[in-house]
Amino acid sequence: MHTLPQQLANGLFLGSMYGLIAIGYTMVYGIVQLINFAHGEIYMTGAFGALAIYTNLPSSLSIWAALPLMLIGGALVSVVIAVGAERLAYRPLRNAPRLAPLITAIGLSLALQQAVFNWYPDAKSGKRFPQLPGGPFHIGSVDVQSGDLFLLGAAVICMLALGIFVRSSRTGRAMQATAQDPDTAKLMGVDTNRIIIIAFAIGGFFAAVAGLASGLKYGQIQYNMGFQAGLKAFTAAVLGGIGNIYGAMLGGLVLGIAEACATAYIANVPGMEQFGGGAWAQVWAFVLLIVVLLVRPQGLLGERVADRA
Amino acid sequence: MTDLPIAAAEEAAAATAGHSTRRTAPFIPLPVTAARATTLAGAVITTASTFMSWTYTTDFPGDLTVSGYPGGLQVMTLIGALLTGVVALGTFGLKGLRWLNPARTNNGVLLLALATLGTTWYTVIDIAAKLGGFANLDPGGIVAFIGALVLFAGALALPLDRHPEEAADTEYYELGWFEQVTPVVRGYAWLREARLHHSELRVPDTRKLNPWLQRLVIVVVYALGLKILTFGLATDYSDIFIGYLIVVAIGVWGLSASGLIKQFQQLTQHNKRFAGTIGVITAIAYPFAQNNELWANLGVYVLIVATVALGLNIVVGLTGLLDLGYVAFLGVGAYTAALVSGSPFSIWSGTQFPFWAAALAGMIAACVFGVLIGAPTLRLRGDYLAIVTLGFGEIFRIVVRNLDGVSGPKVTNGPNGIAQIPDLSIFGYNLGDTHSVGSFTLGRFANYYLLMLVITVIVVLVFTRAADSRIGRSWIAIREDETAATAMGINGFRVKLVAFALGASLAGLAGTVFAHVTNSVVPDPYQFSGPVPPNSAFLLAAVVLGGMGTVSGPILGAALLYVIPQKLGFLSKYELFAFGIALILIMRFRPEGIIPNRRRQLEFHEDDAPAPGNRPMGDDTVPATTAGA
Amino acid sequence: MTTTIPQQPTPAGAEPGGALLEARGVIMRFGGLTAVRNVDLTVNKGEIVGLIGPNGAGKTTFFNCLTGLYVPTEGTVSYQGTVLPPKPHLVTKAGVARTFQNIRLFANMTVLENVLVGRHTRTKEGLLSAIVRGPGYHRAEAQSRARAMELLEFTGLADKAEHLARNLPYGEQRKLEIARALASEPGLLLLDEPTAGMNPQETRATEELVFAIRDQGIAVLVIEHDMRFIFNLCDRVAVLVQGEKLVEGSSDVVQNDERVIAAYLGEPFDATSQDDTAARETPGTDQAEGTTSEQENDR
Ligand SMILES: Nc1ncnc2c1ncn2[C@@H]1O[C@H](COP(=O)(O)OP(=O)(O)O)[C@@H](O)[C@H]1O
Ligand SMILES: [Mg+2]
Repeated sequence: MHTLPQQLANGLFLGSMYGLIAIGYTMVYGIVQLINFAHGEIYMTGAFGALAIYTNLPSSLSIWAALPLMLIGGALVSVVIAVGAERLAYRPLRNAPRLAPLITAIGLSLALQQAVFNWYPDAKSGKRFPQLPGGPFHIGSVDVQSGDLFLLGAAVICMLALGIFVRSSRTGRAMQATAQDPDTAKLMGVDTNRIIIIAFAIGGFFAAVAGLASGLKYGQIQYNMGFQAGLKAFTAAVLGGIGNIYGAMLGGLVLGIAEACATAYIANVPGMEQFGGGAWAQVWAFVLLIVVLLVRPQGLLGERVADRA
Repeated sequence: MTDLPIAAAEEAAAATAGHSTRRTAPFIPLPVTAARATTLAGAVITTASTFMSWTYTTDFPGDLTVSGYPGGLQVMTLIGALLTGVVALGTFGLKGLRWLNPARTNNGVLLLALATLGTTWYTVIDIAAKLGGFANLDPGGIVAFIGALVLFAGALALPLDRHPEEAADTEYYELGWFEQVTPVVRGYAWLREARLHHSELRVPDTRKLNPWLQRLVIVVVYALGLKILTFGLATDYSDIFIGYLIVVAIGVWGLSASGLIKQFQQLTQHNKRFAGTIGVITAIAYPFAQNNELWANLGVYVLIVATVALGLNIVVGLTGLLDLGYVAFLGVGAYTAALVSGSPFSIWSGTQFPFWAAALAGMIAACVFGVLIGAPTLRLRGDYLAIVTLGFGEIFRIVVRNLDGVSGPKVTNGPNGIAQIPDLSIFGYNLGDTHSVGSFTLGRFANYYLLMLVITVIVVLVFTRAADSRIGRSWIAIREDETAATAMGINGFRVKLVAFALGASLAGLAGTVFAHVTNSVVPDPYQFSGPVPPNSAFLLAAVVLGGMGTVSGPILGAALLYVIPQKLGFLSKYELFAFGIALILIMRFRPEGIIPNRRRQLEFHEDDAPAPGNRPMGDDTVPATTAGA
Repeated sequence: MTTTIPQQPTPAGAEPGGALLEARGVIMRFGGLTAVRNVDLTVNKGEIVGLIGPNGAGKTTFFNCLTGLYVPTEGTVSYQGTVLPPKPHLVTKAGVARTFQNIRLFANMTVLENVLVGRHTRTKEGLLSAIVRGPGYHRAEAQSRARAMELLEFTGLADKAEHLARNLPYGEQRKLEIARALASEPGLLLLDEPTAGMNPQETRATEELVFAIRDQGIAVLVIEHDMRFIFNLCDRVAVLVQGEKLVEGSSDVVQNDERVIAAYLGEPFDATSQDDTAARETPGTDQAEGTTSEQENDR
């Protein structure tokens, strides 16, 4: 059970989820230098959106048939909230000092969490989420659940699609330009507001995918699941080099694998017997972040930004 | 208790910059004399109505059935109407009454009329809603309803003074389609222009007044402030408290627009020592004026969160560092104090430090953690600090939970925390006991209130003195432009570390008292956001709501954020939701906070054309396309 | 007043005042772009040296290398014989102060406070003394204020001491930057386009100001596009083109050098006529370009 390949696989799945959420942080940050604190909640609402669709579908429908509908429902909720937040809450503060939108984001995060807590039926404690049938599969010495496979597959597809979009579409290139220098991009005729909306929308969509996948993986979702996940994902984004979409995915994977391995192996280190196990996973993730920032302040794939004087 | 010593500077700047206001046509076209008459008539009618009976049953909170003197919510209407009338009189140019409206504008009158209208109509509609229909109104209620309307109509017929620039597009935010179609937003935008910037208000120089008269005014105003505060706290129904909030909030806005607040600020500015002393005396008077353990309890907690918010303000407001895990330093202080308190649940249950030593230990421990967190991260870009502090805040709670002897070594007792922390005893004065002073009794919370007040005063002194010194200037310089600051010889890393460590130590100090007030420490309050106040989001919100970089701002912000939810009991279920929405709205409509740092105020509201090197968002990446690069 | 200087880079120490600042072989690369190529420059005591060149020539980048804002890829900068560490605050402490091309004042501080910040390295009061406020603190603070007011007097901003820096007109903001830099009691002052955006009168006043600064024994290295300003002012002028020092010499020499004229008018100059062409890497580069194209950061 506790073999190294198994831990690596666990880390890989966990990391794909962090990576998916981290994309939203990193894209928004890259373009408007905003830490969209509410992004964790957008992930959470995506999961609840998917669940809401599922509960309203006829129970005769198989989970495989329901899956696309759940994805659409969750994505709709997440994207609408993400774009709405940008349009109504963040955009008016585009020229305000950076703390203002951050506080707005914190407020939004609280409000979304509490809205689900108060008004989603019976969401005060965990909600059961449908599970994918089949599995666990045994691949070598590794046990894999079908939820994990869905997560991994979704992450790979999303990343590939995003990579192609950013690299070869007109909008994608405009997005890169805006990230590098919004003022110049605007002068060059890029509609920066539209680009920002698209960044929020893509982030929201990926968060919804992650939300759905995490529901399938754990079989349960909670109104406050966004905070921890958001914190981890943001850590992943910083680890990978904030602003860099590949960095976000890499950061997620590194963080996930480190967490899985730390949980399993730290206790074997002499003198650290008491610091292993899931209770300390967060702590080791955080230590990793500090170490990476010390050694490579710009993150794994980030570029050093020199301040031009 | 005012901000950095720049008020005078600002005045001078405004005078030479040629700021002048524009008098605009009123909303309702009437000759000025008619408008004034209507306003006064409205004020008189409304005032008179509060001496009548508004409803015939005593079922409505606060007994409004009595004729002959005002009661409950009628008091709010009365105060609003009187203030409006008086401030309106100040604009008539009558000799001896001009000081009632030092800025000589009708803007304040309009806002005060709005406050009166708001609270009166709220009351009348609340009566109708609670008792089932307008039929439950006595004639007095109807008179009040109409009187307030007449008053407001009269005020709307007075010409307003506006900003010299053209209307809404001078706001730093754009009015998009959403705002255009939202009457509330537009109405607000229209109204907020009625609040001229302090720098645009010309008020007479108070230095000409007899110095004793100046001091008298200060004493009276502080006493009134205490009276208003205790009145609000003592309201026993949410309904009355809401009426009170309407009058106070919009009323203060109105007083500010009429220049009275600026005038008073000028007064305190010129009598700094005296005003400070009276401020402290007023604060000491609080547990005596409100001789009740419940309010003393409220007072202690307000002081604790206010003090911690002030410490955070050094880090966020002065130095511009984003600390999202600040509450952990409060926790470090609290846990340190708990461990050395002699509590039977502490691993060192034998040791009991005297308070001064415990306070010192708490400060030092928090400071050490501050340096440990700050040293590796303060060299990095600002946003990294945000994530690291956020992580640290979470880690603190998790570690404290885990150090229970099962998941980790036994230090903190895990989720159960350290209970039975004995009360403090200072110079033989046990803070847990009830003491009597003259005819007053000081209960446990009153004792702690007074102790906490000492600490708050210390923190205020540290803040003001540090802010106005070599080190404080270097903090502000770093906040303004870190590159330029280092090029001026400031060792950015060291100076930031000092700010960070100082902020942490002050939180640690407050934490030591916190541990004793609550008798026990548990991990849960020290989280990023949550239903109970000392959490990082709450503290940050207090700083931003009150006004970053100011002394009084965070104190006021913390007090409001703490007290208002307590008084609005019906909200309790949705408290956090309301808090979140409130944060969004406050940032949307008043991002500079209630008490804007004068520097900030300019930064937020001036159009940004002549701003040198000032790009508020993303300070770290200066635009590549510089003028004539 | 003007010392005739050989056309080639002067070896240090030959000048009356002795070398104050010596930059040796400074190279600055940003990814694939080399903004400064192997530049040597010496500034002697009491000198006013000009640094000119077309936009994008690397003048500001060179300044940043001198002041520690950038760590040069190669080369050293020494001041009064000791090598400067590439940390801005240490450079300022050592005695080199600067202004910025795109004004970087502390916008929301008053004019006086801006200058007081400039005094940072020459004062010591820490947090503790600020809180305790003993007599020593008050004395030091009063001294700082007096010195700052003197400087405001000197730059003609004294009557605006209590204004917010952001409310000053453009020309005065530039002056304030100079006053702020002078507050650190430098031996060498670096000015990056001090007259950009000024009208002719203001430019004249700035000229006077620079002379007055020099008369106080402070050497000045100044970047400017206004040639009249430069040639009136400078004892020596160095020309930077595409990151390379093309010519250095007295005003007359530089003014009449056809390569300089070519560089400014944008005509291709013959690269082979240069003595040190070693630094040029790609022979095929289009040298007619006035500015180096910005192709860095191609992610
Ligand atoms: N931080 C930086 N990163 C990348 N390129 C830079 C940076 N700073 C300057 N450059 C480039 O170096 C070149 C020289 O710029 P600069 O020194 O500002 O020229 P000048 O001051 O002579 O007009 C320009 O091509 C500019 O784009
Ligand atoms: Mg330049």
